[in-house]
Amino acid sequence: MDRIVAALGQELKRGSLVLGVLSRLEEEKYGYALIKELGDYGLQVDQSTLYPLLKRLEKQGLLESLWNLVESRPRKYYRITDLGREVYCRLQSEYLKMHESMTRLMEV
Amino acid sequence: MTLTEKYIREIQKHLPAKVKKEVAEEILDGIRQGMANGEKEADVIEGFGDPRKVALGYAPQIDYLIGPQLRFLYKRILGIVLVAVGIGLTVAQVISLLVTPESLFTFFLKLLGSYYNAGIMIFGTVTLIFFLINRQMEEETFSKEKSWLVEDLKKTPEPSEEINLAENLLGVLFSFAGVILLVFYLKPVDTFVINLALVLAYRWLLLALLFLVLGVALTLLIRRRNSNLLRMLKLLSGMALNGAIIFLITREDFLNPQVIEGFRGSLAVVGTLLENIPLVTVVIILVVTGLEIHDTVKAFSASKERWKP
Repeated sequence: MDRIVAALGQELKRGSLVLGVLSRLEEEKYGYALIKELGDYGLQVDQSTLYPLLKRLEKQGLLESLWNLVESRPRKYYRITDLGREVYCRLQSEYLKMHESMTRLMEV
Repeated sequence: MTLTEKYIREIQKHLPAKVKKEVAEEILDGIRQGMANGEKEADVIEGFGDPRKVALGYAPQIDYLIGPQLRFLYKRILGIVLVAVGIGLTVAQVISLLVTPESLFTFFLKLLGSYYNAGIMIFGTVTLIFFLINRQMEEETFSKEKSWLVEDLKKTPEPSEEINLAENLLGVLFSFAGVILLVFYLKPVDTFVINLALVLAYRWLLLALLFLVLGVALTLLIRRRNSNLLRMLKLLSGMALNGAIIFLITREDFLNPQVIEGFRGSLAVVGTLLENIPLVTVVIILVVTGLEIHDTVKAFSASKERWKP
C-alpha cells in the first residue's frame, strides 16, 4: 500500500510543483536555493526532478535563465518571464478553485 | 576522473547528442552549488539520484528503438552491409542479364526489385539485432536502478576502459557464424564459382583466427572493461583474419578455374565480372579494416586525454 500511496502522492505533487516553482521565481534564484526555499515551505523536491522541470519551463518560455559570470565559477539562475507570470496567475486561480472544490468534496 | 565527472558522463550516455552539453553544464552547476553550500560531493550526487532517471527527466521521449549509445554503430553497420549487398546484387543481376539476355527495362525492374527486397531484409535484420541489444542494455540499466548508489560510480570504468557492447556482441555473432560455417556447412553453401578445395586447405588457419577474434570479443564482454592491450589484440586478430581472407580471395585459383574458363569461351564479360568479385570484396574488407584502425587509434589517443563535461 505504501508504494501505491507514494506513487499517487508523486502524481499529485507533480502538477502543483510547477505552481510552486513559478511562485518563487519573481526574484532570480539558483536551482539549489530554490530547492531549499521550496523545502522550507514543506515542498520537498529532488534535484533530479527540479532541474529538468526548470529546463522544461524555460523551453516553454515561462522562465528565463542567465549565467552569472561574476563569481569565480559560472552559476545559472532562473527568473519568471511575463508569459510565466500570466500563466502563473491563471494557474493559481485554477488551483484555488480546484482546492475549494476538493475541500468541499472531502468534507462531505 | 572525479565522481562528478563520472556521474555527468553516466547521465550523458542516456541523452540525445544535442542536449548532452547543455544538461552537463546544468548538472555540474547544481552539484557545485550544493558543494558551495557545504554539502559533500557524494551527498549532492546522491540527492540527484539515478543518472538514468535524471536523463529521463530531461528527455522523457527517450524510449528509443535504438538508443543514443548504439546509434552511431547501427548507422555504420547498416551502411556497410547495404553498400556491400548493393554491389553484390548489381554484379549478380548484370551476370544474369549477360547469361540470359532480356530487355533493359526488365533488367532495371528486376534490379530495383532486388534492391528493394534486400534493403527491407537488411534494414529489418540489422534493426532487429540492434533493437535486441538495445533492450538488453536498457534492462541492465533498469535492474541497476533499484539499487543505485553513489558507490557504483566508483566502480564505473573510466571512459578509456569502456567497451562497445554492441560491437563486441556483433563480433561474437559473426565470428561464431564463421566457425559454424567452416565446420559444418561449407559444402552446402558452396557456390559453383568458389574453389572449395582451396578454402578447405586453409580451413584450420581460418578457424584459429576466427576463434581468436571470438575469444577477444568474449573476454571484453565478460570483463566489461577495455585496456590498450585488449584493444590492440582485437585490432591485430581482426586484421589477421581479414588478411587471411584477402590472401585467399586474391589467389588466382580462388575462383573455380573450370567455371571461369567455361565463361571465357562463351561469355567473356561474365568471366571478367566474376574475376572482379574478389576485388570488390577486398575493397570492402579494406574499408572495414581502415575504420577499425581509425577507431583504435582514436581510442588510444582518447585514453590519454582527460574527459571534460
